Amino acid sequence: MSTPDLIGRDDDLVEEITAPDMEEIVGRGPWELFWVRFREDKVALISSGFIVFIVLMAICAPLFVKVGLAHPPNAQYTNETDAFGIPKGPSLHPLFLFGADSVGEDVFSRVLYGARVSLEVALIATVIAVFVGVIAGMIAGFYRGWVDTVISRFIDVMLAFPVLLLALGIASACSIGNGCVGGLIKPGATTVIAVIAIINWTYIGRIIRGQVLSLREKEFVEAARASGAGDMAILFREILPNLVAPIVVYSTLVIPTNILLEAALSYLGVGIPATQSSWGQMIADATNIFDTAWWYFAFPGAALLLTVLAFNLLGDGIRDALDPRVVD
Amino acid sequence: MNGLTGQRRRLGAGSSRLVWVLLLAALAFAFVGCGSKSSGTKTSQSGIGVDGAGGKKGGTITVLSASDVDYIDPALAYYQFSWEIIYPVNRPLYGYKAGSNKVIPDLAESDPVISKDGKTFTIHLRKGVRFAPPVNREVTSADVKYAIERGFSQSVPSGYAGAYFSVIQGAPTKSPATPQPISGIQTPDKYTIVFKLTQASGVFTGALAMPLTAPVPEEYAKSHDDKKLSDYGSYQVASGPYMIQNDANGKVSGVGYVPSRKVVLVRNKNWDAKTDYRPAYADKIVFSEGFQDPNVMTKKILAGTGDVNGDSPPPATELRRILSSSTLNKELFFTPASGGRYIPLNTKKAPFDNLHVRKAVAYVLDREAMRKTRGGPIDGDIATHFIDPSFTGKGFEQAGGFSYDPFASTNHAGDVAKAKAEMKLAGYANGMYDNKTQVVMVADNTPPGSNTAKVIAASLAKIGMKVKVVSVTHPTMYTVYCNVVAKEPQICPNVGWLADFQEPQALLDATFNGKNILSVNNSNWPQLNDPKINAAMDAAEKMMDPKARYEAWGKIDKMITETAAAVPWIWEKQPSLFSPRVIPAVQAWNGGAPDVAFMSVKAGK
Repeated sequence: MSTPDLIGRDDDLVEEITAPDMEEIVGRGPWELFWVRFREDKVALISSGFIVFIVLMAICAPLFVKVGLAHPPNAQYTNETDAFGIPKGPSLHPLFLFGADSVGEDVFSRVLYGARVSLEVALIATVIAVFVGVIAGMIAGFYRGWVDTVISRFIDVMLAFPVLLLALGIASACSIGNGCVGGLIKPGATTVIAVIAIINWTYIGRIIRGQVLSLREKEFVEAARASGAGDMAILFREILPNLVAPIVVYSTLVIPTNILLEAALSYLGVGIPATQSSWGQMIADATNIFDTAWWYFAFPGAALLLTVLAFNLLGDGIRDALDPRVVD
Repeated sequence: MNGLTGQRRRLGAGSSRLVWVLLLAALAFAFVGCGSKSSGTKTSQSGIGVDGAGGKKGGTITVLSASDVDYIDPALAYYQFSWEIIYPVNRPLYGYKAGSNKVIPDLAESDPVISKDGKTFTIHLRKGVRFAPPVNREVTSADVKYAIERGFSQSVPSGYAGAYFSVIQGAPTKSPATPQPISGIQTPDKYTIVFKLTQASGVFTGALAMPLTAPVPEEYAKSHDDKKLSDYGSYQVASGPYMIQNDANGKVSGVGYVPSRKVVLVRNKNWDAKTDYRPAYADKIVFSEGFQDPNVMTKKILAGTGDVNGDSPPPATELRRILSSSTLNKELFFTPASGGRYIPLNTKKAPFDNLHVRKAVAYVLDREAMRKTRGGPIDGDIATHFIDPSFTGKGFEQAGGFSYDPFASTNHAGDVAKAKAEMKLAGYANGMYDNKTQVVMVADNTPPGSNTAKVIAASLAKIGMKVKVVSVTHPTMYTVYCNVVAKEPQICPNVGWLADFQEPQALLDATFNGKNILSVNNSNWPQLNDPKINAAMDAAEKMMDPKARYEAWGKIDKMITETAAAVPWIWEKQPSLFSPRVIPAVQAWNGGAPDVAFMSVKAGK
């Protein structure tokens, strides 16, 4: 028995089968998917909003001074301390929004300028650490052999040092005189950046090495090699783009740790010099009068807390948006 | 994405860590605002005359301190806190009663008999003074002779033997490895000691009140002093009413002296109260160390679980609270320290090799704001020259008293106009510094020193100086930078000087005489080497008549002040806080430190 009806189909029948109301399905790239998921994460959005806010406040700090909402950060007002040298709290007349510190400086403007220091130091140090770590990790993971052994063992040795002692040691040595490494690392912000970078690169180095170890076995790398690409081309055109996601997530998650590390070093007295404001240093200065001069401790502490929290939550959000399996 | 799983575990730890931070922050907020903000201040009471009168025997006294002594050996101890222990345990030739800064005979039975030319001092010792166990025998003049001789050796490197005792004939100019006899110290019999000096000295009696003259038994100490660095301190034998608790072999370290933890004093059972002016009421005294936070120390004293602060002042917030309470106020005493704080300007480094630049600094510094960093007016008077008010009749008035103020300004807040005028005289257009040579300041990295440095930097900015502040710990500031001539910066803002005894020479000689610039361990921080001033000091050192001597030193003080080699800023009154369970007594001659040989526990406590 033949079925001539189906073979010579009617055009009308064919048209009825197609669903008229369906849209065209367009394939989305991984970054678009990322954005869609990220947009729906309220916590991550609020965090990024806060970070943008803090960065704006830091950038506009001189503007606040110009407008008169804040006093110049190093200007000392002896009237803002009482007869015993104990600072006065937040007031509207005269305008000291967050009160004064032990030498009569405006805590509000020092928190704003301190944001600059904390963010600059943490961001620059993170960039340097990530740069060095990624290069080291890529080379170790890709080339293997003795290069890998040397780099990996060196990373192991560095990781074996107790972090705080290493930080204090380097910071103390470089804080005296002309600094260290022949004057390349000068006392002050440069030393703190160097210390944080030295401590952090090993972690990202290890992570990237692990990633590269698995990526180099993938088929697209084999294909690239077969088509004649050299090592450099493979590293930068095939492997590196696949590392962008872990690099971004790691960076966002390590920035708050670095902000806290800078604060800790300043708290311990081996960080930013006293003439520049830094949240950690303000907290250190406030510790012995915090029960009477609560504002001197509370405002930099709150700023530090909220900024670190925001970066952590943002990092969480980015990681969840990139890798939704884990969210489930 | 395997690596990120590991990353997630790290983040997990981070998240819960954040929760802890939040909780702690919330708790901190909860504790906040509990301090009172009362502003009424009563006038503070002075430590002069606080001598523990009316005490009863018995009980244990506890002294709280942040840190340890510098040395436990009586020849080496050269620190205000150490002397709180050394003086009750040892009997130098001369000493002091609590509450007073008058030198009185201690081991000596009377004032020294001084020859007409001022070069021979004859001193008779008390009889019946005995060493504590394990030596037990009577103290003789040979023990004082040996005590001074050992301070000149490399084995026992005394910090002041050279400054005050090198005037003795035969005193070595180069330190021998172990103690060697000095011909100028003679002991004609066992209760007489004679000092023959190379020149007349008006201050030798004051020097005899320092712990170097406390007796040391040679037969017992020799085995310890013959080492490269003597360990006699760990085995020392007492001559005073108290001794550092020791074992049967005489060892104190690990028994009564645990470094950085405690020092325990018990009664010297061979002490005869009839030979001593000290009452020695308490049976036991414990110096409890390690209280780094002055807030904690102060709260313990107010609660009665500690009896007095040993080496750190109560913080300004507590002082304010105590002074405004009529009950607590009675336990707080302010004693004028013999000496003060000043800002030395390194005269060997530009721009402070120029007199007018130094004068500009002396004009521009806001001394009122600087004093506030140490607690304001309760901390002391603004200093306008170097001999402080505790030297009434002994050079203070002769130096012009409170009214001599060559760099005066309204409310001591600094005079920018006059400072700029001086800068113009130095050749700087507009009166502002050009910063061609950067001015470096090495300061403490903790308050109050760090705050004082900040205030100074702000004042100097008014004459255009962009000061670079290097922050280090207080001991590092001294030992690595300010006391080392080769590394000393232009400004050392956190130094000060206490007189070793109540003579202007002890205040001005080591600090401003050109011959006392040492390459290491230097105390002449401005490195002042003015031939006129040096000559005046050399002449004054020989004056035996007190009146002439104090006149001369008063003039020298003025000369030094006018060079602006250092800018004096505070004559401090050091606070001592006692608990309600003790009757207070202060070493008024040692900046108001507690005098445990005169303190007592109140009846019923």
